[in-house]
Amino acid sequence: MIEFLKANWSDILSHIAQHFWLVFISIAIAIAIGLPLGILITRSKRLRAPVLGIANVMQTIPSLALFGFLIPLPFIGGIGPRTAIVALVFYALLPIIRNTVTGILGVDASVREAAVAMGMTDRQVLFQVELPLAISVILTGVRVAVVITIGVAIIAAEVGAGGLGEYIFRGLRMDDSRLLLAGAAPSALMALVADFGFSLIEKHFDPTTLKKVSIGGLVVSGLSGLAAVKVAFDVNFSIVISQWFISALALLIWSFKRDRRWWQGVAAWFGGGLTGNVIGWLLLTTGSPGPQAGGFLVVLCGFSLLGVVLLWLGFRTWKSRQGRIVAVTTLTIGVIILGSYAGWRALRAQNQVALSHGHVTVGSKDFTESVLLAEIVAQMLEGKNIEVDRRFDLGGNLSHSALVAGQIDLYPEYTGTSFTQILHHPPISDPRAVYDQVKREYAEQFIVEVSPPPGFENTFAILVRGEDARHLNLKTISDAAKYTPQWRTGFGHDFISRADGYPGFSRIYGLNFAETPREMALDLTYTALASRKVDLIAGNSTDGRIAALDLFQLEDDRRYFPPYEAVFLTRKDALVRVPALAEVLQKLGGAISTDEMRKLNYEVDGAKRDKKNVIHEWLIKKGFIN
Amino acid sequence: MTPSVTEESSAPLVEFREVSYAINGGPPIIDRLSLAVERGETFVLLGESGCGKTTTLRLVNRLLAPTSGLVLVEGRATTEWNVIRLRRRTGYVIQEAGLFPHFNVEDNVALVPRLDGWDEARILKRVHELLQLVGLDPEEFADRYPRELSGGQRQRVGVARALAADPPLLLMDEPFAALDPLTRASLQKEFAELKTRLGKTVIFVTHDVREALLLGSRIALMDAGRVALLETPQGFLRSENDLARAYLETLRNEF
Repeated sequence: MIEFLKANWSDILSHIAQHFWLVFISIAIAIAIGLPLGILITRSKRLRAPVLGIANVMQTIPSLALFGFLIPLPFIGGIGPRTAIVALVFYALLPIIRNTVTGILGVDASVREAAVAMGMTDRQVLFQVELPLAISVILTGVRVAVVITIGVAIIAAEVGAGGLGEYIFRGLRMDDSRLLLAGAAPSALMALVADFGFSLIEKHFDPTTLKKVSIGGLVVSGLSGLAAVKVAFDVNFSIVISQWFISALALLIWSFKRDRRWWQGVAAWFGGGLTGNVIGWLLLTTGSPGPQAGGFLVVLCGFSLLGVVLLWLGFRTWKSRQGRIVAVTTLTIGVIILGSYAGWRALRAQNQVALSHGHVTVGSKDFTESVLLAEIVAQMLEGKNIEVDRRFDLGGNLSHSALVAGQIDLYPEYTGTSFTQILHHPPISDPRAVYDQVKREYAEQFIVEVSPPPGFENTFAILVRGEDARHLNLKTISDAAKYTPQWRTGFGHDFISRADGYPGFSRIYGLNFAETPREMALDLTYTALASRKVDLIAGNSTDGRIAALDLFQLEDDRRYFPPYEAVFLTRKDALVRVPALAEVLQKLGGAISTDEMRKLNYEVDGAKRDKKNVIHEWLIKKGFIN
Repeated sequence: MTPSVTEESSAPLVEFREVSYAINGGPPIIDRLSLAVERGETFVLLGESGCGKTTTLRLVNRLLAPTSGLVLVEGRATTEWNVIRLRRRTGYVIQEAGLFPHFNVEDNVALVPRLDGWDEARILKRVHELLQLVGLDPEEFADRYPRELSGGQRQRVGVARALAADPPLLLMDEPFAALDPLTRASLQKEFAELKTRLGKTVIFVTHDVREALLLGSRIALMDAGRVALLETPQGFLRSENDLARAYLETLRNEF
């Protein structure tokens, strides 16, 4: 475990940062939407029931279903952090809206009556009386939302948004408890820390000890929240925004303090900025390390300077005219610094794109072989100086929808799967015919090119434990038929449901089992078989775990399973845009044998080696890269 | 503060003309009420709970708007006033004081002047003046929060807050009802002095006949949304009205 941590600590840290970032942005947006919405429905009784009802329903939608629903939508959909953030915002909204309403309606009626009778306008009543008195209740809502979001963000890995969920799903797939722990422990810790931290802030915000709300602080953090939306699509700004946001947050907390001193505010601003810097730095350096120090310095200096001036002059003398002028001027200067920095970055980013020979987004399904095939293409492209975006581990049919929607440019697929699952044809057993028909129909329906097959087949493999096979002298599936009434089975969701899966299989071979087959995650069936929880499973013929766990593949003596060839499905527009892509796919045609694929799978699943290294070595051995 | 141009006119400061008020077409809470409050007087609305006295008060600063009829303040219907301006020119004191728990005493008293955009130095001076006026030492109390005050002190702050912007009209809704008897008696006495010194027009709601007799220049005895009797304290004591007699009876039975 210690060695694992030593070898992977930077990777784990970057996943924690990603996770944190997902939660952070989602909560910022949820507050930006939920708070005004909550305020609105305290004003309109008619809207209250429908708004709360919708927010309630949204929270009951299972997260995976919500992701599936979002993917095909324009603008908010797709794969990657954006979709995840949209879904997370949905989940975070309810507690924020509900507590805003509860908090505001809970303000003492005589206080509100006095406020109105003194001649306060609606807005003054809201900002000077209701919000300050409701803030601790609202914060409780935010706390609940944060804890929920940290948990749900795990699922975000399924749509390629990264975060700690990647470890958890990878750990499940590879049956690696270290990976599971690397995902679960930090997220649990994050939830605990958030819960504790917010409870401290709530105490601090006890309304009876409050002075006035600093509306400036509210506005600043609101604006930063909106600006943070931008960051969801452009990680380069993350440092600027995280610094700005955390500083503003610290400032806001300070502004609620009784007996506050201006230097405490400055300290809050500096401390927040520094924290934001570290987070931004983590985010930036985890992807691809580069010379970012200059940028940090500009931002740090700019914001710190701005913060000090704003605080010392603006906040203290906001009530006077000169104070306002100074504050506005410093803010303008800050915006100019920020603007020029942003411009500089954008310019640099543009230059970088011009230098590279194009940009390709490679996707994969959520199992080892698919990821390895995608990684092969990715590294070959990078060898040709092409920028690659990796959107791996897409669950279910997400990879197909993402390809059609243009969210990814290519992903590895099996002809049989395309044939039965996507094109909905009944299974046939001639691989050549399957390949030809898939190639034709994909070109027509989706404008997608099917690559030449790399040369190995992957089909369902009916597996039993090696010792059982030796002991009972089993060679074929038919041999096993007489034992199956005493056996238990577990199958993946895929196998249970698809046309060429379980229903036909059990009929053709006349199989009966002791219990109804269990439907479970495919990766867990291997573990279940090895640990004697089940006695027969349907795996993949190229899976490295067949050798690793001493499993035996029974021969398909009635030729029930159609052979599935691996191919790459590539959008035609990507082939036109990046000519090198076609070269790479051409080169891979016939280049991977079934044995080689099984070995690669074993290296990763059995020997638990790093995917990138495994692929890198193999590519060098094959002479595909230098 | 610009001096009010209508200050010198002889028209009543507040006038009700055939005012009715009902909620959503229900039975009238105020029923064709007509009355006039003269400048400088303390007009007491006396009655049981549910008689409409608080509703009458809330019609003056347009916390409520009449269903029919007109409520005139300084000769202008409340529905034609800019409501924010009307309220800032009208002091308001309620039973629970309604102080802002997140403001200290100074900020509570300074509320309306701040809303009206006075400069800070003037606000500070005014707050100190007012705290002294209501018998609270500014040095000791300015930085305290409402929860650090006794009930009587809170009510004093409430009065100071209502007087802060020097409004010509003061509305008071049972301001002393929730206090213990000793505190109540001393606040009533102090307020009686204070109002003669300031010369404000006051509309005062109470269910306590002793308080009405002590503070009022005129007493309107209300019953079922109407004025049953309108008299000076002396006239009230001599009145043959049954309801007035019943109220006076409670005084005689006290030991």
